[in-house]
Amino acid sequence: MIGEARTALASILTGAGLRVFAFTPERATPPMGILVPSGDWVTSGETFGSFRVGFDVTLIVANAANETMITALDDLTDSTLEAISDSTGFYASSVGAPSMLDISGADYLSTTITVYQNTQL
Amino acid sequence: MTTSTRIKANALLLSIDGTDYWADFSSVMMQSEEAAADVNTFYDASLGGRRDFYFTVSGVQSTESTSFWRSMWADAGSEVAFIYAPHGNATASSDQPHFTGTVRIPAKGSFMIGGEASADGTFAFDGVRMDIVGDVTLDTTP
Repeated sequence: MIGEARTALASILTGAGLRVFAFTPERATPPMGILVPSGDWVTSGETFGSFRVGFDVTLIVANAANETMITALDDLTDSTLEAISDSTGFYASSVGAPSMLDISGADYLSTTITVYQNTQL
Repeated sequence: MTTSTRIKANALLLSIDGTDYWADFSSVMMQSEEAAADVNTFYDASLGGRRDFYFTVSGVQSTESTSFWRSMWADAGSEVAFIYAPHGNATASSDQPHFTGTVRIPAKGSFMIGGEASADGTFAFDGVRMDIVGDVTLDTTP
């Protein structure tokens, strides 16, 4: 159930032309997206026997001038939201404000989109 | 006595015309009320008066060909057999019985299609009544 949701979400985003890692990579190679479990990873769903599996899609852009970085993150967030909106079964719940993310000692501009899917055991 | 075992609310079986649609429901209740029009016989009165059974169901809207919603659209107005298992068990037992009978599928449009705009929500129908024709049988036979 969880693995299937993770793979399906990665596949949808990859299909839309985004570089997405279903598992946290050893080193950052932005622009990229990383899937990590959300705060409410698995919660009970709306119907009998269903569960809601949530992932945080962390989007990271390469370091550049402020305007270039921010524009790149805007575009990456737009593309990701469009891909999720066009998919069946996945819902974008919220998008966090951009912030700096430290990966292996380097700071990158990033944002996090919380995505979930209703699924069954 | 010790406390009776409660029914967990995370499973259900509601088979209508041979298909179990449990996963499409968010709420299913079966109960009875005083019968609307029929004459009360002495036999009815001896049982506390004539009763009409009915389901009240809520669930997800789906236009998939195998969904509950589509089945209700296709079979609107017909009377079909149902099996209801609050425990979600496939086989009835003395402690986890099935309820069986005949349900009348409501007219088209009883199960709404559409709803409020939402960034991450889905459409659902809420509290639709499905009348049961005749009596309900409590079945404990495996």
